Amino acid sequence: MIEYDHVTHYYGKRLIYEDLSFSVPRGRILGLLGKNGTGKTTTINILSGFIQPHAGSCRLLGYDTRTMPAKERARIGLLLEGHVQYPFMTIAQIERFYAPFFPKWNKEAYYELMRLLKVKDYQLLSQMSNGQRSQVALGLLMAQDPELLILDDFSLGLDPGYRRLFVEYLRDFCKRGEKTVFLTSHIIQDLERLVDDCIIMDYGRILKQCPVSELITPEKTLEDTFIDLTGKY
Amino acid sequence: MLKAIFYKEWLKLRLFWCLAILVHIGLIAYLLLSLRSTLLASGIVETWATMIGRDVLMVNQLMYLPLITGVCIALCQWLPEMQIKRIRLTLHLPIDYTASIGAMLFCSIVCLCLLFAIDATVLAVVEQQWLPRELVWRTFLTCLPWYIGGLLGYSVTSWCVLEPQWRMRCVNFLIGAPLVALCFLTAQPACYIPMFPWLVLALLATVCLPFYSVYRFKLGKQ
Amino acid sequence: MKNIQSSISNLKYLIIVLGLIVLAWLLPVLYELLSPRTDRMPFVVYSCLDSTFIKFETSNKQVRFIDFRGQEFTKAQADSLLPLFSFRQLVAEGRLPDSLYGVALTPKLIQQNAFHFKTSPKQLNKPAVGLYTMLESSSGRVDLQLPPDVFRLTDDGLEFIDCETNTVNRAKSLSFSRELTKHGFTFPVQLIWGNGTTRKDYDNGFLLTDANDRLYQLKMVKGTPWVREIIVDRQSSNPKWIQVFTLEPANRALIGFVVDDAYQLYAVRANGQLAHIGIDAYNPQEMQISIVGDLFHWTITEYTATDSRYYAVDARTFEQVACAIVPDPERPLNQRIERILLPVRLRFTSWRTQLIAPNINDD
Repeated sequence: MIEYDHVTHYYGKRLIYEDLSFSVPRGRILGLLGKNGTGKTTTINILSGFIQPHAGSCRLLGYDTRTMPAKERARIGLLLEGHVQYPFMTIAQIERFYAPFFPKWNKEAYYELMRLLKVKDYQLLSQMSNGQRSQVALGLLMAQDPELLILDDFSLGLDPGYRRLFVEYLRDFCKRGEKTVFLTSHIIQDLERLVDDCIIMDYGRILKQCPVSELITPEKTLEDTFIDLTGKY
Repeated sequence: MLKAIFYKEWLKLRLFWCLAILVHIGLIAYLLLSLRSTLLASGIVETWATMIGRDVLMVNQLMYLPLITGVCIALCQWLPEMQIKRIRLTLHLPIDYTASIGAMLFCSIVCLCLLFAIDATVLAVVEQQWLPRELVWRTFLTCLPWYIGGLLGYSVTSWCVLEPQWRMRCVNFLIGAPLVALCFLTAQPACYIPMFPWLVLALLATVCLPFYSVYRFKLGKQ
Repeated sequence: MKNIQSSISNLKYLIIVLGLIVLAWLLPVLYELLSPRTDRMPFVVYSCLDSTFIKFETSNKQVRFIDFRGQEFTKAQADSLLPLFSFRQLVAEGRLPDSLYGVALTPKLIQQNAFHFKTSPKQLNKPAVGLYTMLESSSGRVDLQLPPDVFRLTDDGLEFIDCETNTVNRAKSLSFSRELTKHGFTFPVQLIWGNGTTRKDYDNGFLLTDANDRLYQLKMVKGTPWVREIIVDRQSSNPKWIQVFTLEPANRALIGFVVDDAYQLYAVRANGQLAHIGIDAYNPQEMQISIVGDLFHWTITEYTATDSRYYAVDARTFEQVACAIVPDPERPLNQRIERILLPVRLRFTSWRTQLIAPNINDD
């Protein structure tokens, strides 16, 4: 579903990473871990087609991201860092806006989650908390029902309660529909509960790429392994 | 899908459009009331003589309003999109970005044209109760470059705001601002007649440029 | 899709072109801000006592009086050489001559025969309003009054619009149109000129030409139309008129000026006769003209793109008395440098017209 081939990227003269390659098979949930500035968001942006890599190629659903036909993007759900959405819209308005773009749009899935949040249809997103906005973003993804989800730091700004809610809903949603997920997060404990595979990055290179189960032992959590691999701050 | 884009733009900008309509109608009403007051106070004969002999049309207060409206609508429309790069939501939609950005530009340009048409129509319809058609037409010809300036102001501001790099934004502004200034070289009535085709060309050129800014955004320029 | 993408990526060339256009416009503006033009045309008057032209040259806020032979005069000497121009100063100093050319000089006589006419291509080339004011020429009142209507030209006549009701006064329109056609006028009007202001002592109405280039004077006398054809005393066919001007000089000797397609300037006398003015050529589209008239002579100054032309003509016969053609001096250094540094200078305003339009190197 995702093929990231020998990608090199610079911002100006600053090298982000060189010759990075990984792939994500169908039905797997892959988490990208790394310190700040190691290129996680850059990777998300390249995957989403917002940045053209300096070298290498990136394929999603078999299409090169640079030339992917626009309508294929309906099969990809994207969650931007900070759960970016349109703050001037209400719950109902944002659903009404997105629905025409996606042929498999499932309105019920969205409103089911909104009922759990106990928010009114006419409530503006700008008047919601970070947690509520994250659930709206998740609800939109669920309504879209994409085959592939790309989530950039899905837990940013969320308290533990909303993070757990988000993770549980996402995991159930993905497992039900055999979704492929690529995500990043700062909260490593969330990734332990959610991801099947993980990539640990350092500046300019991959340190480890393997199933999460291989990195967790009774003595060591994923976080411990991450710190060991990347070095203490 | 394009209807959804128009729907989003309406939700984003409806308050602004309401305010713009109020301001425009307010200013047009003020101009017409001032004209009426002059006609009553100075006399219709004397007012006509002034307008004909000294070529004074009493609409100069309208001069920069279309430009201010165009610039403001562009800022209200595109600044939220560029804030935290929210435009990525639009670029990720399953339609070509030229269609989505084009729809957004189209709806603002059409609304601006409608607003300016309302201005011009109200002004003409009311003025022709008091003034001969030559003066009404002359008023329209005098205001027309300002309306074109408003549309140019919108497209140049859009071009600048959508540009992802500050350095290029400055360059865009240095090129675009003089093009807008072309519409305001003189307030002399009806002197822009030979210039209209060139202004329309400038408008058609600048309306294309926001696409280039978004293209640069998609290339990852920052 | 690929075509759209490549078109969008090629927009950078459009930006470059727009940038070059902006530079071609703004660099000369910036250059002139930093290095302003200081060329000023001197004021010139013919001195009948010196039989030459005297220049009023301003430099460093001082005015110098130099004749075309190069002789410089003091202010007092210049006043003496130009008694009709400086008569107020001379009267104040008690130095006004009693007579000149056998004519007893009085301030009233001098003032009555003094007039100034000036026009330029920029003044002529502007969008016409299309409405004109027909003043009552013989109301019996000292001051002129604004009429209650204005008129427009149509293909087959004049149409008067009542100001109060903003409606056409059909009776008056028909009356004026018929009076013109009765005198052989063929509509539509080709050229028209009148001074629709009440800030003058009297009104000469309008000079206008018809579809066959015949020249007429039209005014309103006691509410009714008054029309006179200006007969051209020529053996050849009627000239084609390219410009008409109406005047109201204090001495009431003239109705106006007309220019034909051979760029010859004529005065229209008060009796309706044309008189050729003894200057070489006057092209209203290319030349500024200034006429300073006094009791005996007119000083006619023409500014062209390449030179300044000064004529003195007799105030009665309009025959040329003196002439001087002064080529423009070499461009100052800053302007020559500008032409080298900025070979393409785009402008949107022009000395020729009030209309805004692009022009290249028209400076």
